[in-house]
This record gives sequence, structure tokens and C-alpha cells, in this order.
Amino acid sequence: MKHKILDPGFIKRLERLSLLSKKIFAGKVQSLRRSTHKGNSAEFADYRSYELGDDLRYIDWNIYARLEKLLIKLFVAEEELSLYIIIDNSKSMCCPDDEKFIYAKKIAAALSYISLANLDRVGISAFSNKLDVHVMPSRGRKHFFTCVHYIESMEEDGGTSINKALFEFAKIMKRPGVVLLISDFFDPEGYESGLSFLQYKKFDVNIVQVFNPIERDMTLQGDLRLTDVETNEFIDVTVTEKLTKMYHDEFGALSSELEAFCMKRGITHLSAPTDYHFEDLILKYFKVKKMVKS
Amino acid sequence: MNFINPAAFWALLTIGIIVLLYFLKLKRQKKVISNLFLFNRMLVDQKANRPFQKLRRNLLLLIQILFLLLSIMGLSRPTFIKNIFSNYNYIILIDSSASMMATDDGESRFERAKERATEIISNFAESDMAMIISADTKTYIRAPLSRDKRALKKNIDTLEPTETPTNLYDAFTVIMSALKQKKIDKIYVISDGANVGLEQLAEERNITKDNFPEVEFISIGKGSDNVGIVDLDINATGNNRENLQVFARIVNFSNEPKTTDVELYNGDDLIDIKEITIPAQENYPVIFDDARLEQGLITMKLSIDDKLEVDNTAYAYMKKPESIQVLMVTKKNMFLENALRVNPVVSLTKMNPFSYDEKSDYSSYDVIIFDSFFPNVTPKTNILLINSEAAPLNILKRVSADGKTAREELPNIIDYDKTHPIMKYINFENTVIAKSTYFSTPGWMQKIVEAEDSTLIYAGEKLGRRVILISFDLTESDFILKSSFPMFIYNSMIWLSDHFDKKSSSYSRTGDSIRRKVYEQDIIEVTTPESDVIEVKVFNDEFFFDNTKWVGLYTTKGADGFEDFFIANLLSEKESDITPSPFIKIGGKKIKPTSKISVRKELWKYFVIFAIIFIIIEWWVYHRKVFY
Repeated sequence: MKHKILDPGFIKRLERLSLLSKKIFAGKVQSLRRSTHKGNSAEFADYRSYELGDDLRYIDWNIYARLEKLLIKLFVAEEELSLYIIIDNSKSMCCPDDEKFIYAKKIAAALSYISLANLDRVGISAFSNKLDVHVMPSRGRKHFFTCVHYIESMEEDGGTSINKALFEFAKIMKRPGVVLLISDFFDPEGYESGLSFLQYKKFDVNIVQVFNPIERDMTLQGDLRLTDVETNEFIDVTVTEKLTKMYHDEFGALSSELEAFCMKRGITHLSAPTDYHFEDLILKYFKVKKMVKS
Repeated sequence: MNFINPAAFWALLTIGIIVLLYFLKLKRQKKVISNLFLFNRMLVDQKANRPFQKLRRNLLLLIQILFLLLSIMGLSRPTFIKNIFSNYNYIILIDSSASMMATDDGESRFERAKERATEIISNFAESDMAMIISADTKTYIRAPLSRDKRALKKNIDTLEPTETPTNLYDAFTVIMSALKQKKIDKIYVISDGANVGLEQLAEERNITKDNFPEVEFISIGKGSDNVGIVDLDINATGNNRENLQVFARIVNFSNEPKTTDVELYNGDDLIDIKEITIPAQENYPVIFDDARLEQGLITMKLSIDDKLEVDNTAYAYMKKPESIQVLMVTKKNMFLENALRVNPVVSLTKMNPFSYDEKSDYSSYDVIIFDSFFPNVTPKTNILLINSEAAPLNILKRVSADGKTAREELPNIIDYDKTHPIMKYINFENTVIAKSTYFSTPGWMQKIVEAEDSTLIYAGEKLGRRVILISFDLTESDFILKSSFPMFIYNSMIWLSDHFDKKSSSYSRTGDSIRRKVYEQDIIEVTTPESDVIEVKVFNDEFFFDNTKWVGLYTTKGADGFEDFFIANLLSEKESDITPSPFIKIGGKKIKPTSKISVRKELWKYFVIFAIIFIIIEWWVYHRKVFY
């Protein structure tokens, strides 16, 4: 089912934001971002000797007057940034309802827009058991519609295999950039090796842990047969208060472990319960977490 | 297909439990959740933090193994007694005497005894063997040592009590014989406790508690509410014994006075009735005087409703005493005539041999005496032959070589049968006889007084006719001068006329053996009071009947219209006293009755119960996941 992911008013507010990266990447195309390349932005970087064919406009005539040497002024190049949005579209994202998945899609759409508005490249992938790179990184406002179209048409399917998906992703995407992984992180096999591998491949890794408060608080009660939406495995349980508390603690432990891992590895971790006001999430929480800036 | 324990089909009801469990099966609400791995992580934590995790992990397995163990234990039929593989040999002695027919609370003691015996067998171990013995007057080994419980129980089921007195002495004699052949570990005595002769047996066989197996006495019955006839007699009274007096002794064994009607029947006719009240535990003599009785069956009945019915009836056969009609055919025998005339029961008719008409019917006489004479035709009545020249009824006179009658001169008496009725109170010693005649007699003639070569007196019975043969001339002996002679004549008249046997009451006791002389019969049919017909073979002109289990009239029938009867009564004070004995004594040891049979108490039921409990726990654990 398709949703109107972002309303126009909110999109306008997003225009004031830009994506922050903890790393400076060497882009190919000039953009509004500092690059490791020396470019022609207003920010001075260095001098070098004039060589034939150099643009005469960048000769520092003051130096020439003083030292009689032709030196070319080097400026910080402003290049585009690649944002890779990886969305978990396993079945667990639509359980108990699709609120979590929509929330994730909204985040992806918002971040896409912010990046594209800043002339960055945005590529979107989805993963469940396997990776599906559907929207290759590209730039331009028109690209936003491609992204949104893909985001909206994305459907849940299969189980969760974060590590496998990230390994595949790193193999396909040779060019480092900012990775935004949006998932519920309900993967029994874990996520550590995948995230570490991305870092090893020089990606700036950011994760958004999306969850439905129902999943955290365990509101179910009584004699239940609980079936895993992804594996169809089930267990029979009698949910008591004690069990509820134990589950709650377990969920907390999962989040804490994820957060601790991220902190240790320098990964930005954002926790996004679906009852959190979405605009506040982007405009405030993401800012606080230095994912975006005004 | 047969079933050893069809009662097990009651277990089919447990199907209901399974159906119930099915209906009670927990209906869990199905919920789809985003992940189970948190639950699984939680379980891992739980298990890691709990003791005995290995056990907990396999809780269901453990419960199922427990269920299986309990089921197997149940099937192995465990008991409280340790000697499961003991190969014990038991004897179960069941009292089947008349007192066991008493009813307590509507059920006969014998049925109770059978139930207890069956209970004992049910509790035996598979390796145990049991022998079943029933004892009344006689002892019967109903089943030899066997471990076939089914056959033993079936055997017990077919046992019936008899209306005979108890004789545990014989039963224990049989047991003693069994002890010599097989190791016997325990003897169960199931009885109401008539300990007849056991002490005597212990003394005779030197039984001590060390050389005799353990005896367990299972007392059957309670209370003593019984009134019974314990004696019955019919006597002739008066000078000519023309009157009859019926005497009975009735005992009230209960602890309270009892009132009952005593009814006297002659055949089917009620002759007299008396109401009597007997104080507790007292005798009461009942006499019926001047009863107008006719020849036939006399029955005395008590109308009381007590616990033992068999002793409320007694029978006798009565022949009204009449004088013995005697015809004496003799030329002259003063001593014989005097001897007959002093006998008050003899009505004598004297006749000269010349007056004796062979064609006349003399069968109205009870006895005809032929003294030194015998007609060509033998009259159809009882005969006393004295010094007869002729030989009737296949009695052959021996003839010497010269054609004369063979005789022994001055025969020397060497033996005489003192037990024969005609020799009662007779002394034949030092009797001098001039000569005696040799006879060859048929088998039915019994030698009563024997000389060295000849026989002096014979007696016998054939087809209801009795014959006495005196082979010497009375007048040529000093026997007629002796005091024994009138007594001998008296005895002879009484015996020949069968006077005592028929004149008044005559009966045997139940359980007694009946021995009767019959002649020219091969098989006698005995019809019991229960209308059973039993064929008895005749050996040596005698039939022997030992199946007098029932109180009443037994009729006997044979060839040539032979018909006779005999009567069996209980009339046993010990048997009518149905008060259960407080103990039996054997080997100098008093054995008190056991209130509870000390047999193996089987535990399989409890194991089955526990198995069911465990299977329910298994169900609960499986469905509830209580480890959360």
C-alpha cells in the first residue's frame, strides 16, 4: 500500500537542513560540500606553482608582486556527498502493524530530500534476507521523486539478515559515503560484523533503530501461541506480569547493547519509537544527534 | 479369546478422562509477533540462571519417563511383602461343614469363605502355589498345588457346603501327608472355628510350632443365633410296646430366649405341634406321647427363622411295633417253646410237621421255625432251620461216601461271631453238642458259630428274607440248658423279623458311611434328598455309600424290584453351635483369627494413580510452559 510519505509543508522545512557527515569524502562532482580535493570554493586551502594551462584567475598576484613567483591559490573543493539509505523491509517491520515500516520510510524520504536539496547523491537500498539495491546514488531534485516512488512502493518481505545485507552492500558500493541504516535490528544473527565491515570500507555509518512501543512494552496477556512473523516458529507462553517485565528488560538490553556498540565504534545511533513525533525526530532529534544541521 | 481379568474393562472409563483432557486442552490465543528471538534470548538467560537446568530443559522427558516407570512398576505388581519371588506354597483349607451354611447379614458363611479364599489367591505372587482343600466330615483335595490362579479360583467357585459335621482332624491328617511330599509355607484355615480334634492331632503327631507351617486362622461368621434339633429318638413304650414316644432335644445356642413351634409330621401329615420357649443357651427336651403314628417317614421341623436352617429339620423312619408272629413247626421241643413264650414280643403258633400244609400261605408269619423238619416248598418268610434234613435256598447238605448225611461227632467249637446281632450276650463256650451236620452254603450265608470241621450256626439274608440255620439237634446238646439259650432265641426272633430296625426310629448321621447287605444285586441306585441319583456297585453282596452329604431320606433301588431306604440327620450339637470359635489350637499354640488377611497388598493401583497424576502434570507442563 502506498502512502503519502511527506507533506509539502514539512518538505519546505526540510530545505533548511543539510546532512552532516563525520567524515570528508572525495566526491566526483562539485557540490556544496567540502571535499578532500582542492577546489574552487571561497575557502582557501594552499598554494602551488603555476603550471601551463592553469586558470590565470587563480594566480595570486600579490605573492607574485612580492616574491615574483607564480603561485596558484588552491581553495577547498566543495563536492557532493553520497547518502546511502538502507531500509529494513523484512516482515518484522510490518508487525504488529505497518506503523514501523511507514515510520522508517518517512525517515528515508526525509533524509533523501535533505541530501538531494544539498546537491548530494542519494541511493536507496532495501534488505531483508538479501540486499536489493534499487535506487543507485544520484543527485538532483528530480531524483527525489525516484526515491520517493521507490520508498512508497517498497513492501515487506522475508526475514532479517543485517550482516549479510551490509556485506553485500559494501561489495556493490565502492564509493564511500554516509550510510543510514533504518531497521528494527531484530536479527538473531546480530549486526556487529556488518556494521564493522562498513566502517572498514570507510563508510560513515549511522543507524536508526525503529520500533513500535507495543514491542517494547509487551502489552499482550494470557495464554498465547506466539508466532514469529518471519520464521513462522512459535512458542506457547502464558504471559504473566513477571514475564512482561522480563521481556521489557530484554528489549532494553537489546537497545542498550546496540547503543553501546555504536558508541564504541563511533556510529551514530538514533532510537526512533514510532510514537515519537516525526517532525520532531527530524528537525530536533536528528539535529541533536548531529545527523543534520540547519 | 478370553480375559483373565475382565474387570479391567472398567478402566475403559478412563477414556472419559482423555476426552475431558481434550476438551480442557488449553485454547491459546494465536498472536503473530515481529520476533521471537527476544523470547529465546530470555529463555537462555532464565535457564542459565536457574539450578538444575539440565533437568529443567528436559522436564517433559523426565515426566514422561516417570510416567513410564510408574506404569511399568504398576504392571510388575509390587507388594509390601518382600518375598515376591519366594516360591511360597500355601494350603487353603475351607470348612464346608453344615455350620458354614449359616447366614450372616444375608450371605452364607461358605460364600464368605470362598470370597476370602479367592482374595488370598488374588494376592499371591506369580511364583506362589496353592492347594485347595475342603473339609466337612470328609476331606477333599479340590486342587493340587498349582500356580494357575485362574484354575484355583474356578475351583473355589465350584465348591459347595454340605450338611455334614466338621472334621478338621482328618483335614489336618491329609495336610500332614502333603507336608511330607512338598514344602508348605503357610496354611490358611478358613472356618467358623470348629476345632474338632486338632489338639488330639497335635498330640498324636507331635506337632509343634517349629515343625509345622505357619497357620493363619481366618474366622468366618459372627453371632450364635441358632436353634437346632440335636437329638431325635422314637421309642416304643408300654408292656407290649404298642405305644410310640417321639423324643427330641432342641438347643437354643443364641444369647436370648427363643420361641418356636415344633412340628411333627408323619409322611406329609402334620400329626402334632408344640410351641416351646427355650432360654438362652439351654437344652429343651420335647416329647410327643401317644402320637398316632403309622409306618413311614417321621419329620420334625422347627418353624423358627434362625441363621442355620439345616438343623431345623430331622427325620426318622418308623414302623409301629407289633408282636412277632412266629410259627413253630416241631414234633416237640419244650425248651424251644418255653424260650419263645418268655419273649413278650413273640406271638407263637405251634404246629406239628404233619399238619404243615405246603400249599398254604404262611407268609403272614414273621418267622417260621422248622425244627428237625423242612417242607419241600420254602415259605416266603424268615426261617429258623434247626437240624434240618432238607436243604432250602441252595443250602446243600453234604453227603458222605456211603450216601448218608455227613456229620461231625462232638464238634469242638473253635470260634463264634460275637458281633452278630443274634450272638448278643451269648456265651457259646463249653457247649456240648452230640453231632452236627455238614452243609455247603451259598455266599450270603454267614458262619456264626464254627466247629473244627463243621459250622454249627449260619445266618444270612437274601432278597429280604433272613435265614438262620442251626446244624445240630438242640435236644442233643446242652445249649438248651444254658442261660444263653433264651437270649439266643430272643435275638434270633428279633433279627429274623428285622424287628428293632423297623419297629422304631432308624437313621444315620450325615457324613456317615452306609454299609448294607444286599443279595443278588450288582448295582444299587441311591437317590439322595437332593434328588441326585448315584449308582453304587455291589461287592461281596454289600454296597457302600459314603455320600451322605444331605439331611433326609435316601432311597435305594436294585434289580428284581429291590427297594430300601436310609435316613441321614445332622443332629450334631457342635455343628449347630454356630458361634465362631475365638481361636484354633494346634501345636500347643492358640491361633487367633486374623482380622485382615496378611497377604501381599498389591500397590499397582497406587502406581497407576501416580502415573495418571504425572500424565496430567505432563499435559499441564506441556501446555502451560510454567517455566516462565
